[in-house]
Amino acid sequence: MYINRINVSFLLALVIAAPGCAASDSMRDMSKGTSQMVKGSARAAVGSVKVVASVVAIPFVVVGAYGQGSKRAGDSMLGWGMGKQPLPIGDKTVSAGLSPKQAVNGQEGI
Amino acid sequence: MNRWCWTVCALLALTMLFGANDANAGSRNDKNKSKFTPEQLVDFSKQVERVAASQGARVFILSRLGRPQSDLTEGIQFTHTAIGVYSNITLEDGTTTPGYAIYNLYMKVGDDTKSELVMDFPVDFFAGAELLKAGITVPDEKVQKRLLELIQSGRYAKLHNPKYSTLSNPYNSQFQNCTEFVLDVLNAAIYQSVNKAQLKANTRAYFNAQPIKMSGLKLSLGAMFMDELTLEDHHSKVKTATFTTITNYLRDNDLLQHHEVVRWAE
Repeated sequence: MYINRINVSFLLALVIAAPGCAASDSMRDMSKGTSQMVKGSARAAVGSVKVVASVVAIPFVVVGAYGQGSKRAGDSMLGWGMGKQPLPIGDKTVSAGLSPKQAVNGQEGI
Repeated sequence: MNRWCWTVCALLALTMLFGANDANAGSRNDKNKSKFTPEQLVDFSKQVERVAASQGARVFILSRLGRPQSDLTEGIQFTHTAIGVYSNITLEDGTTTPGYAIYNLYMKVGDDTKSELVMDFPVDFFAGAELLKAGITVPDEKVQKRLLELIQSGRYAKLHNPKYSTLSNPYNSQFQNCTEFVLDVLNAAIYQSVNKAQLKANTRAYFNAQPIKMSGLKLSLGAMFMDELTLEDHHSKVKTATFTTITNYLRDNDLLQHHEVVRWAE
């Protein structure tokens, strides 16, 4: 009986302890990702929200950071110097496209 | 109490144990069913982008709360941290739009002990949020410029350690979580080096990690039953990098331009 008591105490300790170790979550939405839900719902919501997929995002090149001869795709956007002045943000809401796995194996609900 | 009673208690405890684990796994699946409407997610994401843009932030550190507040240990205010980079985003139709791309370390889908680097966007970042609350930390211009150079060159990826632990020790390179990755990238930019040994030596000298205020027993039990948690990289007190400690690190070194917590406002 004593051993049983220990077992029950141990199990109860586990119940209390295990979920309480959360300090970080590095989880992304998975195969039915929320962003996909956003896209799907957006279509259903008749334009109340519109989410578009991106093809590529290139960091704006800061003047002086790279040479004039650079062939990077972001070169056309040269001219943004560093500073605290406000930056423009587009009205469109952009979401990541499908993961490689989803692109190859298909994605439900898209 | 007779043996029968103890057996019932044991079964009840087991049920609770597995129920608790299911609930934990369930919260992950819940990420696929966001707590918020698409309109709320889109509005909040834009709100966060505009706050960062209003500060002229080319690069900033962004954090979200992805677990219930009641699950968090003392001193932890955010659970996922990444780097936002002001970008020229090309859309499927060929047009471009200015906005922020988010550079993340995410736990690998299907393997909680491994991670991968993923670029997404604010609406993706907040899709799994528990609360629409964001931490925004903008380093000063010099640090932003160095971060931009590091990310643009692709060298930041050399700092990725795919061995994942949710409470990774930022003072060594055994494991890494999302926030430690951000700290490593930040330090690589500050010191203009991707020499991991040197960067960790500097981290030990100058960075104050967050102590995890939890009993050793609880932590050990958590490590036994959670794939994403190990204590192998901790030798005495368990400490980890957080969004708040990174912000304090920048502030203490006069490298902070702006810090703000944004909450969703309709």
